[in-house]
Amino acid sequence: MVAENESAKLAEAVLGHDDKDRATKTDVSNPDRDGSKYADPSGEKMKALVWMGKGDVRVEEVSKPALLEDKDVIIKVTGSTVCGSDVHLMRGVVVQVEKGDILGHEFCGVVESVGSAVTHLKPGDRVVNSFVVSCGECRFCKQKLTTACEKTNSSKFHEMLYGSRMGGIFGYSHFTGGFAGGQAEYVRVPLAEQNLKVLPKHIPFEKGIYLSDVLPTSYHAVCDTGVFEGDSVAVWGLGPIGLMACMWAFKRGAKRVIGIDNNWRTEFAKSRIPGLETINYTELPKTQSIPAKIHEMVPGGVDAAIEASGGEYAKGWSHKVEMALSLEQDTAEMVNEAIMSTRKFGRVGIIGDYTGYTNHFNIGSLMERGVRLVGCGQCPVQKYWDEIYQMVESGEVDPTMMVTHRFKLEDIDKAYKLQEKRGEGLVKCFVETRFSEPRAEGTPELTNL
Amino acid sequence: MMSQGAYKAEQAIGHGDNATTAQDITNPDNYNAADPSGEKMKALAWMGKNKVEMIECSKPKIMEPRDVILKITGSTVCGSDLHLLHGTVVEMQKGDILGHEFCGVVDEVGPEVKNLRKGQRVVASFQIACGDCYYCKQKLSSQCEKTNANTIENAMYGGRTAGMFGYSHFTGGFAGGQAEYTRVPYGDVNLLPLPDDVPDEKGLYLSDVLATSWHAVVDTGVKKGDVVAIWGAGPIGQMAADFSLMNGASRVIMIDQNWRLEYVQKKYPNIETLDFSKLGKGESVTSKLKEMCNNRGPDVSIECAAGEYAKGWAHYFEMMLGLETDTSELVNEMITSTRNFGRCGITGVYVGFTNHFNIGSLMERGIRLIGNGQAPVHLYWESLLKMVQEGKIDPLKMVSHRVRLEDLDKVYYKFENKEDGMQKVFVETKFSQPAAQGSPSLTRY
Repeated sequence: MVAENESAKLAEAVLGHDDKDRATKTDVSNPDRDGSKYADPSGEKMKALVWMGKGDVRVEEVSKPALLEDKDVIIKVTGSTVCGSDVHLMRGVVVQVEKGDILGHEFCGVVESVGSAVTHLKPGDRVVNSFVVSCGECRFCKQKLTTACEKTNSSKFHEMLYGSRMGGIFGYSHFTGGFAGGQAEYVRVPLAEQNLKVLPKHIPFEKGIYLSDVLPTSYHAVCDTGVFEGDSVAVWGLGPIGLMACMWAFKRGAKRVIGIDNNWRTEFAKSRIPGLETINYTELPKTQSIPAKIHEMVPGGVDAAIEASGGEYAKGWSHKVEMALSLEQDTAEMVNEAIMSTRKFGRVGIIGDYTGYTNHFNIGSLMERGVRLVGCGQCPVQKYWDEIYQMVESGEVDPTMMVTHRFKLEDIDKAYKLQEKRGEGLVKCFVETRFSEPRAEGTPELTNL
Repeated sequence: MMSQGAYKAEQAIGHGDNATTAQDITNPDNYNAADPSGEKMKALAWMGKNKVEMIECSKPKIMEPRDVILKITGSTVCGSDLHLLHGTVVEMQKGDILGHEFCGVVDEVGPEVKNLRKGQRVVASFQIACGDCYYCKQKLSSQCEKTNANTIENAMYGGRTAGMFGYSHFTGGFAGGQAEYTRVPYGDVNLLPLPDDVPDEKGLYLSDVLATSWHAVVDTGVKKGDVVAIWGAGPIGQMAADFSLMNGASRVIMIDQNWRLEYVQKKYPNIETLDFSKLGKGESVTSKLKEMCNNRGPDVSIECAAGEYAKGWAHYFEMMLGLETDTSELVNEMITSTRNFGRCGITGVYVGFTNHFNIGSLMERGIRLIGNGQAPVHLYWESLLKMVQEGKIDPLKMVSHRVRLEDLDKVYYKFENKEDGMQKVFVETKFSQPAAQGSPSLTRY
């Protein structure tokens, strides 16, 4: 993985960085990359979670960011969290991450200052971000496919690896625009009116923050893969995305939903979602595979399958070895299982992160049986924002069902390690800062790590 | 080796118990299915890897109450027959009669066939459907649950396709139509009557090509205004190009090499072409397509080539060593060339596992990779027949040669080497009508 990060760096140096004609300046992943340009002139410092090397994230003191462009907004952060995909970053699975990059793509807070062209936001507004940095004006943004924005990412390596480039993401390496993230006390939000949503006072931050990523992403997984009335659905991976996808699947009319994982998360999911069936695959007899179990439970296979684990989680030794030797970046095991478990002409959606190449992919089963493999793509948050916001406001959907812990920003590096280990019943956390509002009722109390 | 190993494994494990029609009758003489009259016929048989031969065997007999015996008046050779020739499809046995595209005249009907009579002109679908199961009721005939009991296919894929004519024990083991007579199970479901104004030379292609290329286009989802790229300028690719335009595509770009593109440029002047063998240093199919399509790439891509055709040496060796059964090169090109959140369809035959598949580009960019599946012919063939009648579709555009059944083994090798500009052939038998207008004249070999 580290080797790939180095070769990506070399490749970018050779290919050149495509940072002309961007809608916002890319690659300001930490104000201290050039304090004279990017740091707040007051010299104020703040705490932030930075990537320092493979497996090494730390809470450090860095400069508070300054307003750079006229569409910027500076947010005083009142809440953030840790994502399963942040764990990918920590483990060095994502290329083009650099020492000192501030992470965090899910955050909420209070507007502190606004750029001169910002008219719909003012200091004091309570807001949540979209994890994607989008311009709102290009061909893709106009169709609300904001994660395909053409103007917010300069990585040529990304373009070479994938054929086309996707847009910018907060706190997610230079592969996706190199924007400083919100696991900090302050964050600069470029193109703010496009990438922030206002939260009224009656929506606590402990609910609103999950409009940044988890709620739209899990909803997108279900809608984009396609779940219809009466369907049977299987979901691989019961982290926050998988868990919420199971919830959404029932909401969209699924008759049966089966969640698959290898630990206590199956029990947790059953406790939160009435009617959910689960498979803890470590409890299957040695001779029975997951597809065999699913065909037993749903003869013919499920109508739709959703892969919500991620390509880095190899199960068997052969894929583990291939990944260690860089013969592949992602395992095909879960996707193959999903394809084989789905009925003919059925649908498989991939929402878990897959970043590179895989071997032993069962293309025969896909082609011959008419299976649709839907790369869900990075979820275009803005497409779903209003719809999901309504459901949170009315109480129809309560995101706190997945929130198990509350931590302080000062402890967020330890939270990363806990998330990686799937330890202590941690599913999703809320991370408070010194600016946070008092804890909302019904949400977990603070744990000091 | 793998093919024979798979066959032995199938014999050891046994078939599933789902089939309602007899399995593994791939040649009347090898499986006790000869007509009692003792009448003989000519047929094209698989005799080993890279070996097909004309043989003389017994005419087939009625075995089940809904069988029809068809007197063959036309057949053809498919690109996927070449996969059989090459041994890439497992469980072939010596003496298996090939051919999944055929038309003819009803010669005998079983006692429960009510809708067909002797002498009627019909075309067969390449798949054998029962007409009653969960998939058949939706006209998804290619995924019928009752006509294929093969265990190896079930183990490899997680499910079975329908039985197919002339396409190995892997798909149920049915004798094919590259012969003078063929037994058609469930003949009341799997044969479509041809009206007098549709000659065999046009009607034949309702068996596979027309339905398969139409399905590729509508299943992958070509919408009005879309820019479409098609890999592989064979008969499927050519018909898919025409059908893309019929479904509203604004541009169609075909990717292939050599004289096949010249054929396309001549017969399909409104299709753009990309010759991948002529790309410059540092150029790729992806970079060229992006250049041709506003730096974004096409909206829809369709793979009409197949997984056995490795371009580079790495995949060539991996396949030779059995490390993978299909190359991922074309599918990867398709994925990286298509615009973000765009759609890719696979219609070319892919049979097993592949390496170096660009799953990152697929997942991160929202690409829909649609296995078109074996095309459900029954879903489309009635409306396609109407379009042929109305002149909206002209299958003769792709037909380059007319040949005799007796020469069919030689034709396989010419077709494989793409000699003589051979595209799609019409194979006549001693029972055929004289050549219809517009059909190429007969070539003997």
